[in-house]
Amino acid sequence: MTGQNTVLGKSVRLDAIRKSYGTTTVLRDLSLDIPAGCFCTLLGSSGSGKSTLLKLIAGFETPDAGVIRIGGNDVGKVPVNRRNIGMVFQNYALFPHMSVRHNVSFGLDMRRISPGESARRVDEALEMVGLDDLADRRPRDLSGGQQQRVALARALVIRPDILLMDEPLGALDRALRQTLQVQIRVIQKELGITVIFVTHDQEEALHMSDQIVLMRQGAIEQAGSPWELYRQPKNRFVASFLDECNYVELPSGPAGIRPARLRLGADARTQDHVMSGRVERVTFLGANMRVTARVGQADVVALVPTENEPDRFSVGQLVEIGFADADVMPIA
Amino acid sequence: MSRESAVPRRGRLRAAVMRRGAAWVALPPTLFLAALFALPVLRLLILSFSDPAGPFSPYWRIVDIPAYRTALLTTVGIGGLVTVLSVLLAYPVAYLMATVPPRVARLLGLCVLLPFWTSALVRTTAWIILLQRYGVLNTLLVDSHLLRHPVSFVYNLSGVLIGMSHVLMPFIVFPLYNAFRGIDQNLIHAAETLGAGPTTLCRRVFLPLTAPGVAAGATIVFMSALGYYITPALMGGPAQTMVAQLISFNVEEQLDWAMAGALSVVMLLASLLIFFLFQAVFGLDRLFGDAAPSGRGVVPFAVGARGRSASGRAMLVLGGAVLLFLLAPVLIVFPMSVGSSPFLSFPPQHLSLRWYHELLARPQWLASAWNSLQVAAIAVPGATLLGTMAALGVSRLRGGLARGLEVLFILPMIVPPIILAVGLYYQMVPLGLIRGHWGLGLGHIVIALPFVFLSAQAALRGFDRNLERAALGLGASWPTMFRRVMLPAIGPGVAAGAIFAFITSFDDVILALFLTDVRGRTLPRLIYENVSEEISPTITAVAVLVILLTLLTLLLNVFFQKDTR
Repeated sequence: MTGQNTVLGKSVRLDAIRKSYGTTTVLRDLSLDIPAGCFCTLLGSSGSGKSTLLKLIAGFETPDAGVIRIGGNDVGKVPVNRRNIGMVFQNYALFPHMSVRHNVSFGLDMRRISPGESARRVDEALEMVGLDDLADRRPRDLSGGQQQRVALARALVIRPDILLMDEPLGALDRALRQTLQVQIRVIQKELGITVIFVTHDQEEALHMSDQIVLMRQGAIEQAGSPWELYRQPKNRFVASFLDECNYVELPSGPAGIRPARLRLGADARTQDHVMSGRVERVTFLGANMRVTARVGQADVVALVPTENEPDRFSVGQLVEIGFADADVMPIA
Repeated sequence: MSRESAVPRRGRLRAAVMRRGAAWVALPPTLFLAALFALPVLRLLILSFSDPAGPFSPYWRIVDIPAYRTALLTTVGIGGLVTVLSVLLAYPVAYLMATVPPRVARLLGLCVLLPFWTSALVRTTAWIILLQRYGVLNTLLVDSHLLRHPVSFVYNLSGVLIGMSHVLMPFIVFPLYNAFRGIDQNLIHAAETLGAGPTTLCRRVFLPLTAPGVAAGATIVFMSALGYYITPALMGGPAQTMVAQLISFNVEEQLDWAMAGALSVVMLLASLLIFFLFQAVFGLDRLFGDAAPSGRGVVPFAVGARGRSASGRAMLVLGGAVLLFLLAPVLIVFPMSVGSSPFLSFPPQHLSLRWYHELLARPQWLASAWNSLQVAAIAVPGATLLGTMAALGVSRLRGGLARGLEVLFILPMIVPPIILAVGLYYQMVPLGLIRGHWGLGLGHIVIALPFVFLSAQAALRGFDRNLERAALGLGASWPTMFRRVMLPAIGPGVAAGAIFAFITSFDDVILALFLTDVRGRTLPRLIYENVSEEISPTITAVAVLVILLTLLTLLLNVFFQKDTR
């Protein structure tokens, strides 16, 4: 659509946003900066306030207090239909009475783009999502993945300042989800648009984002790059939300260690820290084995490569567990 | 071990036989409708070819004689106008219902249904009181200097249109309401983010998405309007004579059965054509079906947190006005009935219960009310039993037979009642059934059966067949299962059907005009005879009592339905 590396999107700045429904507070003085061109994921379980935040940015709801700036402008008084926002919904929300082409051209019609220009841009958008041959179908004749790609084309064709995506892949099966994750990310990088993506799936957040905002009970628990959240979690909640985590008491204080960083058996002895435990459960996962061992009063979970030795560990066996200082995550 | 397993096996076998056998319960209602619905209608149709001047002579006369030609055109014209008017009036009400909290929407739904279930005669009477030359509306308009001279709103086209739209509108309001509720909130959000304002939303999203609901409702309205008899007869003038009136005229005044038959054929063909078109386009489920939104993440349409737009508020005001229009005639009779003046002046000058006393003083009113109840005592149990059997039987069948029977059991609602009335009259007179209550009672079973059928069918659809299988698997025989599992589950639906059957029987006037004599005449027939001469204030007292009874019955239904929620 445009040359590469041109930043098309705008920045989003939230300042002390507050929102409650009746007596339930959904968002508590939330502030957040999303740079232009950033793929930002709002991650959290249901009830964390992530969807409400998205609705406020889109303009479907108004905050009780606080300021929302898009590209530096306060949009508090701007109605939804003048915000120039692209939105993709979990249930696609395609107009059932219009063909794929008319769904995509709807936003261009609203902007009174000339028919020639409109047709060119619709074709371009459909080609981008790989659906140029389905332009005359009705939404109900498409699969879920195809429908969601139409929704994406419809949102992108208007060249939105920001693209909001509300659990867009939640209704799709795993394989399709992964394909679309890659496709969305490629398109986003190519167009340089700002994306705010809502999901409860931490893997999806890790795969796609420049920035992850982990939310809990209407507040931000931690925001940062996927690497930061994964490797430098501020607390146990963040550490456990992103992946499984073991917690140990070290002389330096409490610490977390990911199961994949643990070494078992002979490998363990060369590590900086070694403990001993009794194997309680062994689960075969394919490439890895998940070994649960009892260390003192606590369970420790380790992920070890299978390495053609499926019977390396058996229940009841005593085993040494070791890990390196470099893999320790200090947790407050 | 073998003994133990033998018992359930025999039970299963018997259950299978009973289950297959259960389809036979559709036989009695089928035979009943064949004898008292299909046969009389067919005989009337055959009569149309019995003219001494040649088998097709009445049909030629319909084409040749201007009065008949005009009546046909008037019927189609009035039907069309009523349909358009109903659509226009239904939109704001359906929108209003869809955007208020569900509890309020249910209450509004009751307001829409009240005129529909209120006796046609009571409604018509009330409209005449409101609209006539020296009626309530003219008094108000002249007193407030909006009009210099009173205008006649009734006994002309406007009277017929008002009266008919008033009662037929619910057929559009409910499908339209469901269509509104079926619109996914995210669609609106999507359109808004793409830049659509309120006008575009309305034109490009709301109208196309509600169009199928409107079309379904409009078809039913048009079809019903074609067969209207009472409203045009009482609220129209000679220029608004519709085909149904001509059928009655030919039977009662001209004794020209061939002509009545020919007119019936024309009307029946038109109604059936529309009905089968409807079935082909929308499917029978749409008739009273509920198109609730389904699927993952679909949020029913509602007013957003940002409140209503200016046009949304305008729709709200319009919706309120239409609701007032719906309720006005039902409400007006209450103050009118306690005025002491014999001239039905508004507002009533002195309060008195004079007309209620008069009502009690005249034995004919009590006698006719008693007649009505006796007829209902035949019609309600009969329709409830046969309608439930019909639904049960159809639910056990598949394919063409099921669809065919389904159509048969709904058909009495589709065929204009005047045709059934005349047909039954022709069939029953030789049997002496017109004296006493059996003739009318049987007739009422025919017209009330579809209500029970639809209601029981809906209940059966909501019944999980696995419950039945579980009960049979636990060793219950089919009758025990029916009594202890199925009947409690579908009971409320059957009860609702029985209530509608009662209202149908209690309000009917067309069948009563033909199938009763002076001694057996029902309350609606007596009101009709009074209203067609002149409207005395006593009528308002009768109207109040009938409305209260209807309201009570409807509330009873709400109560029954609440139990199942």
